[in-house]
Amino acid sequence: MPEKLKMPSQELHSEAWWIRVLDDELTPDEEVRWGAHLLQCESCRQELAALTRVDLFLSQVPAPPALPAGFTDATVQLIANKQRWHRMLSFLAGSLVIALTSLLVVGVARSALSSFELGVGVMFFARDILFHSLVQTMLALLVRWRTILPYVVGTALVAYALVVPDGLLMTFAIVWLSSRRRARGMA
Amino acid sequence: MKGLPVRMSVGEDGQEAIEGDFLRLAQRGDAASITKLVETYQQKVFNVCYRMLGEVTEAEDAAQEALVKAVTNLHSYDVERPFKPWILRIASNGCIDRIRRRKDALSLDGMGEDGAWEWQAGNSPSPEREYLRNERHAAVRAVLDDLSPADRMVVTLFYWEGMPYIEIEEVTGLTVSAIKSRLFRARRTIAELLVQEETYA
Repeated sequence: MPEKLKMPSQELHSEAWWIRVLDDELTPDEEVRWGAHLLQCESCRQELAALTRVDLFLSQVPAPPALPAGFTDATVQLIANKQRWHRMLSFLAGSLVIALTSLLVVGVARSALSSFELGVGVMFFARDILFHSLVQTMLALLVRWRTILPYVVGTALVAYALVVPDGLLMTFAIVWLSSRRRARGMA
Repeated sequence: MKGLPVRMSVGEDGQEAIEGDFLRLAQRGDAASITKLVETYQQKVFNVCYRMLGEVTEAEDAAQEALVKAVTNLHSYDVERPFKPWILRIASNGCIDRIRRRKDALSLDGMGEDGAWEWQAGNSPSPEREYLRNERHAAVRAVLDDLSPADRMVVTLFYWEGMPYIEIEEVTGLTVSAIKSRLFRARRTIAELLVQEETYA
């Protein structure tokens, strides 16, 4: 056998080699070596025949049946239902945020009118509750649909900005109450 | 859809693949675009599910589930990327979950399914031909059932969907070398099963 046709049989029996054979990736030289090897290796001949039969077997498999009539309509209807449900839940979540914010603002305003300290206390307490509900709502949306709808985020951010200690509402409330107290004291 | 800015491309298998602007419309919830999307990909998705699961009814359920999931999650899809691998990935993952659940149920109650491929009335001109077709289906299913779900998926995409390695990589998330290796081992397993079948027959 010519020197160049000699090749370690271990390599010719490797998975990597077989993959190249089946993918038709051998170079012309390698083709020659492979042909020579096949002539003298019974197990490789058998394996090649078996693998060729696999290709034949799989290629003769009948095509899948056609989808039944009405499949498209049923699927589109399911999608529409799911989207409607999605929108409704998002609307409910948004409404909940708005309702909580309104309650908070009304509660704080009413409390602040009767007592400054009580008003601040209620504001901090309500802020914590609101913040936790917002986080939970957003987490639920994130886990369920892997999304946070922009308007839910927008409402949440506005609501949160209004009630954080250094937020606008708190600033206005403190300034307003302080000036009112000063005015009372002067009177 | 008159006047719709649609950019269509023709795939290697001759089926139209919807891309770009059309998908953007579907992402915004346009009903006509969603219907077109479903119509375009439903058979392809069903074919993969059918090859993976081997039963018509379950494959229809899995295909419908995959299509619904894909459309309701369109906002997370990058329209610059090809749509086919994305939707087939959703379908394949769904099928793998179903196969796992099926195996769990099998190990729990000790009973399997009836093992029969559903008879497709009206597809064959003669009962003999239908019988042969069912025999062939049963043989393929018996062979595929012995493969792991991931190997079954690789075989399905390579042999029956005619996908190149690079597309299978996008669908499965496996590297090309891992796909080649899995495919080769699956071929060897099938070859052994065919020999066993012949010996038994």
